[in-house]
Amino acid sequence: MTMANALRSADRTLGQPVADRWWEALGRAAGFAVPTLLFGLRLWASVCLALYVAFWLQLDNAYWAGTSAALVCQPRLGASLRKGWFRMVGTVIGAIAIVVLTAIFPQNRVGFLVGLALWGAICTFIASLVRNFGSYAAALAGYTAAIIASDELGASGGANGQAFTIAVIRVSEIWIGIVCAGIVLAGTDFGHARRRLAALLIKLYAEIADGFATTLKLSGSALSDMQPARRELVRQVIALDPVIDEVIGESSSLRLHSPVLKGAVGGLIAALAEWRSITARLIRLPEDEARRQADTVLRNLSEDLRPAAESENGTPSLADPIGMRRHMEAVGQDLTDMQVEGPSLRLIADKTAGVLAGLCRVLDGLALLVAARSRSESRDTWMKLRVADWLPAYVNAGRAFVTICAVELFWIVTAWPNGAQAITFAAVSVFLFAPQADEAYTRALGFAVGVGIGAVCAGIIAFAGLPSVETFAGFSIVMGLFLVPAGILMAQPWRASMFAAMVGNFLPILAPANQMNYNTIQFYNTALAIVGGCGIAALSFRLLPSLSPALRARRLMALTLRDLRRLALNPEKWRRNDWEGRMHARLAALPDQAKPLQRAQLLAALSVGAEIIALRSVRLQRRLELILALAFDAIARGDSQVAIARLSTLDQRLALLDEGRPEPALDLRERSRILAICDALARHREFFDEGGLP
Amino acid sequence: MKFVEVDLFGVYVAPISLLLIAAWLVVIVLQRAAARFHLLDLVWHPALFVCSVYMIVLSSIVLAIAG
Repeated sequence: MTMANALRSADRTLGQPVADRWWEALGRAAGFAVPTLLFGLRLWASVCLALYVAFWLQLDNAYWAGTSAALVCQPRLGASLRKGWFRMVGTVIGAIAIVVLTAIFPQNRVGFLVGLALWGAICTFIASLVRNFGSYAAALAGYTAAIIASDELGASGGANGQAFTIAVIRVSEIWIGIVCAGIVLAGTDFGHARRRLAALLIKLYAEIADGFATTLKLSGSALSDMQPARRELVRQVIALDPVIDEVIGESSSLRLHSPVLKGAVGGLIAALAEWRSITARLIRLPEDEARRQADTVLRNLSEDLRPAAESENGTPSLADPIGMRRHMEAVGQDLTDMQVEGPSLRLIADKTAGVLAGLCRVLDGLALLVAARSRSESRDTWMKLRVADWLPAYVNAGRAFVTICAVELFWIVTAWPNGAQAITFAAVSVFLFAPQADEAYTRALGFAVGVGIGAVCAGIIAFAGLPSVETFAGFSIVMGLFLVPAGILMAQPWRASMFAAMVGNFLPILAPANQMNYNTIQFYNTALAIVGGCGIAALSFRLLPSLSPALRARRLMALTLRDLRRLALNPEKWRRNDWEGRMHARLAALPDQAKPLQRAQLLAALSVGAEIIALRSVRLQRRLELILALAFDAIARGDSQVAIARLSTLDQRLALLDEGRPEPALDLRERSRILAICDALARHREFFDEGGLP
Repeated sequence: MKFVEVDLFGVYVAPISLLLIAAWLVVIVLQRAAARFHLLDLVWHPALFVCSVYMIVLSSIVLAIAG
């Protein structure tokens, strides 16, 4: 902005009537305050409804119903409902596990306690392997077992044989809480996840389409300048995963078509990988030849790759995703059928068609979100569990086992009356935060601080508020004095997880009952056990830390290279879907702090692997087949230079064979694959040879 | 035995909780001093070392008061 413009703008602002500016500011404040206040009210209503039902049914520890309702409540509807479903599943599994454990070790205290720690370790292990709410359900299965165990354990360990009854009651209480929260949330909030995901997909679609079109228009060193933007896009695509989970939580119809939404993410990754291949090709060509080939492809591409229009608030919108998809499919088909004179142009044309195919999958997702129209997407591609790296899961499981054993030992040695509660809350924190990797310690510490603040608030409510009320209405009003402001704090972005801990643990500390007990010593001991348990969990993350982001990224790169070398040795053992799924899992597991170059290297490995798998089925003369096998062998040995030399020799021999023949010895498409492998190997030689950064 | 419950705004608090906080404050000072002279660089597992020092300080305070 020039100085004159700045002065004019300031003048306009100053010239605005004071009342207008006040209204504007008030409008902005209301825009932020109203949703947070509404969430506070929803949280309060959910907890009170759950407690009312549990009191009415005269359940033992009614506060678990309220606690569940508070834990399920999230500022986003989709997240709440999805969390509720997974919480139900996790609770039942945990309850079954503890009943089985009690049956296996009826008179064996050590066996029971070690079994409990082992079950926690297994749950943490699974929670670290799966993502999003699946991970939450696994953690839930672990700490539900600990919750039920804490009720059935005697003063210093050993089950009392009431496991089944307690399990049924606890599961009922937890389910009541989940259902009550679901009713209140679904009845008062319509959710925005569908619109948010559509906006994110359109934004990414627009950025990829624009960036890709720009790449074809650029030449020389300017092409390299596009790399940071593309690598940042990879990070943004990976971040779509939790939003998709929220959308699935909000709508049962979308849940049925979830592979289409996940396919949209796959399409974005595929488009980025193909775009990378084209950039690598154009960089390796002489500048005028690159310009000529890019122009040839550009002539086939229409300008309307981008979204149709910009909406009022500046967010791109897409008027007709289905029509656009049809158009893109036709353009892609034209590019695939285009007659070209050499493998280089064939590569650029095919990869451009690949970018369009990827974008078509995004349009399928958008058609589902915007127009409720869906195409079928193969389920088996996405439903398989693909583990990016096993080591973090083993570390987390080991930590969970050691922590639970240490608290159990401390409890038995000191004969602490509330030790069982400390075990439960140490388990909650250590299971729940283990999958957060390097953020686990900060989150667990925030959780412990939140629990501490919640304990102080529970003390004030218990000893200053509740003694003066006699009816449930009065009780609800007193609860609202804490829950509404706490809900508001939970819905704002600053330290939201700490406030969520404060809300979630307020009820177990307060322990409201039909006949309230105002024993200060009991309250103090309960609060100390809960805060202490959470503190021990935070300490466990400090003493047995998760793998650092740098180490995790290095391991993921090394594992990718190992897989690629295995694939180069035995390409016939791999299916393209498996390879792509594994690479997508690695991309998703790359920590946020990973270097952009590492994301680019993973994309390059994805492309090279896919091209090797495609080339394995090509029928060649025996001598040429041998050269191809030797090239793959060089890739497997980590010798890119030799691999490039052999692949180039193969390409030259094929070109010589084709001279004077009406039909080429090998399809140009296959020769373009050879070229794509050479480009990727030349571009990321340090990675393919040594597996490390330059 | 000199341990008595502490009256904190009408709530009787176990003396160990105050000792826990006192030991923590002492460890913060020691940790700052160790960081100043880069002593923590010399240990294998700094977090474990600090935790152990905390336990030693806490035990010393308890023994000193009990004695």
